[in-house]
Amino acid sequence: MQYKDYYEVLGVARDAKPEQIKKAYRLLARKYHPDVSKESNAEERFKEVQEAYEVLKDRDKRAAYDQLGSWRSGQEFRPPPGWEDRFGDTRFEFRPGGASFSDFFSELFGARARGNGRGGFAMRGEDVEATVELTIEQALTGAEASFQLAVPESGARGGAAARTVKVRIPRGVTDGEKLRVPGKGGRGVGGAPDGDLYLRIVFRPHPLFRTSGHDVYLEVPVAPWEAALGADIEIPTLDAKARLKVPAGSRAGQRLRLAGKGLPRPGARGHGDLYAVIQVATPQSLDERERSLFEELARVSRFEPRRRFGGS
Amino acid sequence: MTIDETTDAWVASLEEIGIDLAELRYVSGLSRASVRALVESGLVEARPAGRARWRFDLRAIERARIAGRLRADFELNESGLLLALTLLDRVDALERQLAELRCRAPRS
Repeated sequence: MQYKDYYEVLGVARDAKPEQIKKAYRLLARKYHPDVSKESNAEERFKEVQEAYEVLKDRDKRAAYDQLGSWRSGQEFRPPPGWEDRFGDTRFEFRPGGASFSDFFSELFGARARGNGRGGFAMRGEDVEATVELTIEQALTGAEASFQLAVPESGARGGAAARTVKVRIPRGVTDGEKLRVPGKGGRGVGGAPDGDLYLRIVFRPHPLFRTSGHDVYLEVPVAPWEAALGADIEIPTLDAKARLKVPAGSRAGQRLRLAGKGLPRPGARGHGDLYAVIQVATPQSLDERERSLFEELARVSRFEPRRRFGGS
Repeated sequence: MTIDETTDAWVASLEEIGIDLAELRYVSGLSRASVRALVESGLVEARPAGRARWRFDLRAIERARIAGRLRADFELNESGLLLALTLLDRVDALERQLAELRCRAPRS
């Protein structure tokens, strides 16, 4: 077990006043709170900050922690002999369903474990969050995802058990959506129910398709003459191919809708749409004949793309 | 310990039942008054379920959990909480718009 320097986590001095600790916590909470922050490691950092604050904001817990003396952060740590007798009986209170704290914290302030067996103590199992990566194709058909979860064991001494959970993800999920699997989180204590498992769905980037809710976007490059004259082309959809009529005079960025060719909505409520977004592609190199045709077009065309600018 | 099990993810829009007020308070840690304030402000949607009862679907659960966390972790009072959720909604809406515009923009 590694020693955690809670003062270092909050960035305050060991003799910081309670107001300074609170101020430091608020600052870091705004920065790392997972519901607010866009930092990539927000959840992990916030847990550390929360754990440090849980100890340092409380006079008794802070005094007990200070008794340990100075250690280096990350140093291998064992509680001093007699710790249990001196502090083991202190009744520390925790908010239910709170974050799972480190082994270091549980060892020192393992209220969950000690609470167990004190008549009438019951605590709901902890909620667990996990991210499931799916391909767009898997979202189309539904998928079975299998992953390892470190599920906090409220009954044990603060540890976590590795559990393999297989979940059927129904068709119709979207990127960023959250699913709830009731009762598959941490185990409850003293007859209290188990926590829930929350799954966040994240789509893997697809080389062709992008999604927005149940709608799917496909960038469709067309040649300048296809955009000008119109064309009947073949494009890929999520599960097949489709014909797309590019109207004459199409502009770059124009969206053509293929109704019902997007992702399925849950509960047989149809499908989203596929949007073909026209991009006018220009040849990067021209042979002699092409060049002379373009040059001729430039000479004879009366098209004025910048008419709105005025002048000549 | 490894338990191998297969279980169905629960999609609220597929499920008709949802959860009731007591369960919602349980999973979010919010008081009855806070839940009421959130429902009345339209920030958490409740389906009427007869005799002044409410049911909450997955979206409501998710929002109530966020509300519970913000309230506890930032020590917010009710009006601060409503403000924070309203602003988060605006951020969400803007991010959705941004994502949609990115879908339409040419790949760089």
